[in-house]
Amino acid sequence: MMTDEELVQAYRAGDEAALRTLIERHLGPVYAFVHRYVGPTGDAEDIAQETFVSAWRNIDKFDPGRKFRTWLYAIAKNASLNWLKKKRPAAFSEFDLPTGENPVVDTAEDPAPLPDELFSRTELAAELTAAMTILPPNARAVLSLYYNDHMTLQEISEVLGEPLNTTKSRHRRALQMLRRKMVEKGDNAPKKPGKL
Amino acid sequence: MNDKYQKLFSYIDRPVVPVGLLDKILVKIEVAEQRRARFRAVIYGILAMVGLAALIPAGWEFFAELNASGFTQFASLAFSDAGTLLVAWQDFLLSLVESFPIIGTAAVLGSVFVFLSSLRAFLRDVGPALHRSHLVHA
Repeated sequence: MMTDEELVQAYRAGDEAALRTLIERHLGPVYAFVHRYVGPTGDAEDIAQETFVSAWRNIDKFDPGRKFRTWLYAIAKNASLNWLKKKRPAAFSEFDLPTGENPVVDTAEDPAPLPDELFSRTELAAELTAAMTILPPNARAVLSLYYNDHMTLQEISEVLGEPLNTTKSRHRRALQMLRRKMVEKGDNAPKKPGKL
Repeated sequence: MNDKYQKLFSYIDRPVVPVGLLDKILVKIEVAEQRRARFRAVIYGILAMVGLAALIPAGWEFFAELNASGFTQFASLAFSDAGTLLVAWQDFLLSLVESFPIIGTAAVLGSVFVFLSSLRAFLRDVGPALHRSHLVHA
């Protein structure tokens, strides 16, 4: 099977089917990423379209030395961010500085482990999805890329266009926030029979 | 610690890609590709015509310079008096170089280059400009 980078080279050489293969290969993960980034009320379909059209427009500028996936996700993240800015002009986090730094994120400590009882809840999937929507977009992005797309923190920092340490801290802080949301719901959540 | 979070995320709902999204994207790219090819074809077509039109004044300039410089007289000497040429070949070459119509030649070559390179680009883009690619059925 050809790698993404080989498909890009093939398309540049005139093989149109290579472009279709590339889009087919990444459509599902990119759509899921965009969907999680902008939230359930977001227009993920339009943003996904914009992402791939933008990638096609700039495919000649793609550096084959880079990973195509991180390059594509960076476009998807920018498209999602533009959409969010249009819809919500306010800052994504009240802690964001004008320089783009986030002192709260940068000083986050390791999150506590998840309690075992969490996995016995019957509505865990829905609760998790709901908890994710409450997180800030960049926190959702880090978690989604790390746990769903299995990217490394280095790759995620490239997608988000920020230093690796910031991404590491953002990841820890996102886990803390997610854990808090999930544990808060714990008392009221229904449990699987026999697990109590 | 990460194992538990990994396990937690295995429960997350995976958004389903809407039916027909792939085709919508491919059609959008086809349309954008055709629009871009049309734009380029028009630009390169105009450039090719400009290059072709510029050949006329450049040619006139070249021949005018050629006649005024005496280059042809020096060149004809090579055929009419080969003996003198062999004796004073260095002076002869210098005279040839000095009388060479540089501006006229540069104008002609420049026009030819603009015309040919624009024509090549025009021919490359005119096909996609007239017929949309078939990504959807690729």
